[in-house]
Amino acid sequence: MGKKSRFRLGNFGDVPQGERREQLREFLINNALYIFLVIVIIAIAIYRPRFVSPGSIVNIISLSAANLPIALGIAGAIILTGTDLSAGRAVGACACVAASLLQAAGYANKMFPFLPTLPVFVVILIVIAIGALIGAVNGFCTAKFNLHPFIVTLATQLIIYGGLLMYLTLGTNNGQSISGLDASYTNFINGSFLKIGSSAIPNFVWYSLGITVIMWFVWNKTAFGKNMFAVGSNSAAAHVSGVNVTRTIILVFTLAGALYGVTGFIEGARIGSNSAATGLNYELDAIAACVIGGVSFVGGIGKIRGVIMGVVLLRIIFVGLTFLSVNQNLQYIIKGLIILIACAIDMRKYLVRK
Amino acid sequence: MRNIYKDVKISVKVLDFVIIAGITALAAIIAMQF
Repeated sequence: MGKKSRFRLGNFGDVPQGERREQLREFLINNALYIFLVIVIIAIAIYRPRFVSPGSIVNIISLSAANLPIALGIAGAIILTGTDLSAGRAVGACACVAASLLQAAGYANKMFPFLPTLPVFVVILIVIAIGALIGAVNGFCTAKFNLHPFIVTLATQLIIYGGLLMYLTLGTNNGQSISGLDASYTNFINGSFLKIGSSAIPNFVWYSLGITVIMWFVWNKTAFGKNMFAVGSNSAAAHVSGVNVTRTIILVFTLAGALYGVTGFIEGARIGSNSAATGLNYELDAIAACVIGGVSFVGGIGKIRGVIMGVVLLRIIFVGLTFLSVNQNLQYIIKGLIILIACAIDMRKYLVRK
Repeated sequence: MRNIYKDVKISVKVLDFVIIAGITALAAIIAMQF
């Protein structure tokens, strides 16, 4: 906070002891959550050795990969000093649409009996388009009407839910959950060509990794990515610098929506039976992962590796808590506390910078 | 300027307290599960 540090890497003798203590304190406070979570993970691994078995590790990797695209989408919204409460419902809607279009041909309760099983890639494009449309609506309302994304996405969340409930009554479905998926869809998502021990790594892990690489490129190597960070840091300064703030906001939310579509497509096959409850509260886990990973709510700050770390850490903790047989209700309290601490650390870093 | 510095310093101390209290609460809850 205004103090000039005399610390030089590798030359500790020059740093006064008081300042060294202050730097250590700063390091411990800023990384308190990571240090704590790592200690908990180690403790669980010692107490329950099965936690680090190949099957458990593959399970953690799979669950993390399933949540990574939605977290990457929401991270963009957070970088713009916003949020996206419609993410979970968007994922659920896309999952239900994908499942309804990719049910097995001979399935007795097929939602649209007259419809042949569509090619997988056609349905991917359809759900990405649906997700992108939802995101575009969010972005348009936020940018053009100057509404806070919290309010806009709260509204679209309800609209999507209502629309999904109506969609599920179409055809022969009558509001039931959609299952009986075609083998081409389930194999595309859940099939595997690589194993750790006897545990197969599902294909969607690789798709998630591919999407992560693409997003890293978009965030770091494109003008759009730089504009996103500029608008998030200071939209007025970005505007004066020639950035089209409205277009950037709309595109960020549209991209986020496309990622929700991908997540929905993956979840549709991963879960196997999709209903209006699919995707419920997914955005909370994704927001928590982003905050833990250092994506700042004050805007303009965030890294892809941070999002990955946040998603993986959060998933490890909750799989670990399951191994400890922690009450499901208590897990909500723990999740809330983790989010609170991550936000406090984020705000503290912002104030110290100020 | 000095008042702003003082306000920020107090806010940082409050956040330090929130962080430490939160970590302690989390540690207590999780430790009880072992």
